[in-house]
Amino acid sequence: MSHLDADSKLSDVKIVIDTTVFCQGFNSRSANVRLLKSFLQRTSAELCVSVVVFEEAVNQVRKNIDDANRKLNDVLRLTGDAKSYSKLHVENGLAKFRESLSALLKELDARVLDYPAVRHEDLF
Amino acid sequence: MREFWIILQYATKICFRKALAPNKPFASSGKGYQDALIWFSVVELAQSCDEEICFISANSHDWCQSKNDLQLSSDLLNDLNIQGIVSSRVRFFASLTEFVQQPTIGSPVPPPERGGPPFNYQQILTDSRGSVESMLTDELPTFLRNLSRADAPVEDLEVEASARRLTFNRFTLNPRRNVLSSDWASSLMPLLCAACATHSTRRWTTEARNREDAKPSGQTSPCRNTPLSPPAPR
Repeated sequence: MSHLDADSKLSDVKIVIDTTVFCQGFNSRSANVRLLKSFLQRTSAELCVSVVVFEEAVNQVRKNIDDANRKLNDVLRLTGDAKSYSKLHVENGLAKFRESLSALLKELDARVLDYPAVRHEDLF
Repeated sequence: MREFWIILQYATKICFRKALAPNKPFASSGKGYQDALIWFSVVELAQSCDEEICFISANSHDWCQSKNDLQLSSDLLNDLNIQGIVSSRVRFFASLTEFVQQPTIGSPVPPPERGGPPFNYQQILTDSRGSVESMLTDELPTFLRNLSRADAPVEDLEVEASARRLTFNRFTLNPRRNVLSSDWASSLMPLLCAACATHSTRRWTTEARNREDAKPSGQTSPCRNTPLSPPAPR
C-alpha cells in the first residue's frame, strides 16, 4: 500500500492538504485528524494549508448551506410551515466554520500558505 | 499600485494561456484555476525548504497520471523539474487515511502475526495513548453497534472517552454469538483489557471471557494473557 521508501524521513515532511480533504471530514472529531495531530506533536513534521484551500473549504460550506436552504424551501412550499422549516443563516454558518477551522489549524500548529507568488512564466 | 496591476494582469494572462494549453492542473475544459493556485503554493513551498512534501488530495483525477497510477502527472513533475526541484520530493496521497496509515505514523494496533510473539498491549497503549484513545472513541461504539445490528447483541454498553479520560462504565459482550471470531474483535479485546487495566474502570464484565474459560487448554485468546489489574494511578 505504501509507496514511501522504508528509509524515508516522514518525521520531517511538510504535509499539504487539498480542499477535498476538508470535504471528506477534516474536523477535531475525526480519527484521522487525531492521528495526524498525534503524529505532528511527536515529530517535526508540519501541516501546511494554502489560503486558497481554506477559502475553497469555506465556499464549499456556503454551497452546502445553499443546497440545504433550497431543499428546505421545497419542504416549505409543500407544507407552508415556515416556523418548523426556517432557513439556515448562511453568514452565521460561514462565520462559525471559519472560527472552528481556524481554531483547529491553530491546534495543529498549521502553517497557512499565502497566495502563491511564484513566477508563473517559469512554469509556463 | 500600478506595478501590482501589471503583475496581476501578467499572472492572469499566463494562467489563461496555461488553461488553454491545457496542462495539469488545468482540466481539458479549462477549469482548474484554484488547483493551479494550490499547485503553485506547493511549488513555492518546495522551493523554500529542503524537506519532502506530502501532498494529500482526494481528487486524484486532477493531479495524477490516472486513477490506477497515483503518481503526480507528468505535467506537474515537469513543473518541478523546471524549478530545479527533485520531483521525488513531492509525494501524492489519495486521502488523509492513506497518509496516516503509513508505518512511520503508525497504526496503534497492528494485526497480530500468526505464530509470532505476543504483543505487549500495555506497551502499545502507553506508547500510542493518543492514537488508541482516538480509535476507541471513534470506532468502538460504531463497531459494537454494527455487531449488534448483525444479531450479535452487545448489552449495557456505556463508553465515555475523551482525550483526557477514558472510562468504561459497563461493557458486556453477549457470548451467544461468536463475537471474538472476527479479527477486529480479536485484536480489540486485549487492547480493551489493557485500557481497562491502565485507565480507571468501574466495572468490567465480559461473558466472552467465561466462554474462553470453557475452551480446551491451548486455545486461549490474547485477552487471557492480559492481567485485569486495578487501575494504575495516572
